[in-house]
Amino acid sequence: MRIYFLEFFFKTVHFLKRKIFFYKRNDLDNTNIEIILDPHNFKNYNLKLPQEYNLRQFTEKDFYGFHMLMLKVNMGFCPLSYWKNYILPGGFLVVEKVNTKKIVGAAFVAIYPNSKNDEVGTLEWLASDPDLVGLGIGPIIASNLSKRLIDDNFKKIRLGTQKHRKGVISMYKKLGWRLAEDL
Amino acid sequence: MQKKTILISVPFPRNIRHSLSRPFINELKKYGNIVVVSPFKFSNEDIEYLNLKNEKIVYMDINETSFSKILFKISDFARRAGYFGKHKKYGLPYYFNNLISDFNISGYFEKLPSLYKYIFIILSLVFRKRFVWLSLERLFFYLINFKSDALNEIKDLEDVIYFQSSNWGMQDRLLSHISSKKSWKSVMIPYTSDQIHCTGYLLIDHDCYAVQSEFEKKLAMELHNIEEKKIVVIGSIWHRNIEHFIKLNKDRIKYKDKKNILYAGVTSLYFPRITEIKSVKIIAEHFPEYNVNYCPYVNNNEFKKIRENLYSYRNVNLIPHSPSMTEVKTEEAISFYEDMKAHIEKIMDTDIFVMSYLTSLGTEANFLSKCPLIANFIDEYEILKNRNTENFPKDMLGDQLKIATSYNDLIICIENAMEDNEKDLSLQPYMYWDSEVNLDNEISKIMLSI
Repeated sequence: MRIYFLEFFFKTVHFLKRKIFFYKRNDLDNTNIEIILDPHNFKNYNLKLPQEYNLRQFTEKDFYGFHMLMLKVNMGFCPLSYWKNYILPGGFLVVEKVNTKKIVGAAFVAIYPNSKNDEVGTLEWLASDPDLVGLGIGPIIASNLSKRLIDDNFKKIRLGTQKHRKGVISMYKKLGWRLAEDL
Repeated sequence: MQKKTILISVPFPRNIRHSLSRPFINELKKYGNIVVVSPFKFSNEDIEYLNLKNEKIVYMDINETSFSKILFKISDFARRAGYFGKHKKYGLPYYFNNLISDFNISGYFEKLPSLYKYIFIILSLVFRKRFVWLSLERLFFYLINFKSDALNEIKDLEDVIYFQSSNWGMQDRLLSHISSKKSWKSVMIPYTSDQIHCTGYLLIDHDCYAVQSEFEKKLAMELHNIEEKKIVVIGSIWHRNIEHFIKLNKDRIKYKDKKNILYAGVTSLYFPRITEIKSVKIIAEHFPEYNVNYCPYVNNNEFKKIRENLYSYRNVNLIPHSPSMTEVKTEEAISFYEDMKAHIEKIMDTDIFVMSYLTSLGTEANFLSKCPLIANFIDEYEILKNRNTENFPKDMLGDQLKIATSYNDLIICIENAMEDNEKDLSLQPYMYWDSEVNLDNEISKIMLSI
């Protein structure tokens, strides 16, 4: 029951933040775009996290930390009770600050729920703490999860984002991902 | 003298191989007219092969409404909660824990809300006595009056002996209810040990329990308090069917000429597919002198995906599963004969058998090939751990079953199995599901006693 209550709570907080405090900026181009990964183009990101950060699998205990991160990065509400049926085993990574146990980065890979016959793999909800830009949290998670998707031999590997997220798009391009519209 | 009516329930495609086993049916025919009750239709070829041309087949159609489904689901939960809550051995607490879980592929957030947990605890206390559950089930059947031509036909049968192989599912629940109302004689012929072990209280008090092995006899006595005099060990009807099939089709079966390891997969809900495929790759790399015959339990699309994934592994052969051997329902038309042939070819001449988790295919391969069995319980993502798999009764196939919990362990288990060929046959895993008795004699004993 706890997960449903907590999800309801976080959903409400996201809603209030967006509607009451007008957090959603209308001056940004929120057009949804798709980015595709051809496994042959994948370039591994070889940098390692600083010692005080730890990349590991998500556990249910990270539920609260994960949603707090999502609140901080304004990515909206992520319904894990929905995604749990699609997330690939070992496909949910978080970066934790070792001494405070705070979740500072997260993302997961899943079977794309809209795909026929489970042929499409998707990378979802990549988030990293905006105060820690430059540590490579995002690229390290994205690189590991891209490999996880490639291992599963999906016919198509994709992710969705918004046009205004130029930094993230450029990061994905460095890993070998390409905009679907360019293909 | 009017012949008895022998009603055989075949609720799922997977029961055909057991309950309509030719040696079994041929013997039963001596004692009465066979009536097969099944929710699916048989092809003409299969009717021919199964030797049912002159027998009556009733196509069972149960008109369940949403309301009746809810009622009978409640009753089924009560049946299992009471049973699992009552017994603390043979790994049954593991099954109780599973009642409050809803497995998914990721392994995350599988526990149902606490409210369900408390409901199950209350159910397990209320239904600790079987008669309480039986009263509830009867009440629901009293409230819901299922009607169909097939049911009328079944109710009109006289002097019936009802053979039931599965202890779950709506068809057998309904037939059990009719059986007790009409005071039919009944015989339980469990198609797997699970029917007696972990499916809940028995649906009905049978006149005879024709179990497969001494181990099942022990389970029946300890878990269901069945009197010893009512239990007859008849061996595995399915294994007798395999022997019969091989005898008839010696020249049609393809035998293997190279040493091989058979890897049996399970559904990704029970074991991560990624770990399964990685295990197959590692086995193929470590043992290039062996063919690795991998049977993933997947649909056609996923089968193609796995084929591409393993394309570069020359010693890996992918084998599709045979629907009528394993499924509880199927949308596709099934060909029992072809499925059985493919199934036997798959498990025949196996040198080493490896399975993800546990699957009954292991006992069949062990029966035919006397191959060592290795169960893969590698848990990279702690999914099995979170499901309390340490309580899972892994010893249900005896102590010759080897359990691998890491990739290294898996390789060592296979290496040891290759060296260790001399085994005591009486301790072989298949003997937990079989017995060296004469099936005809035992059936004769049963039919004369009831």
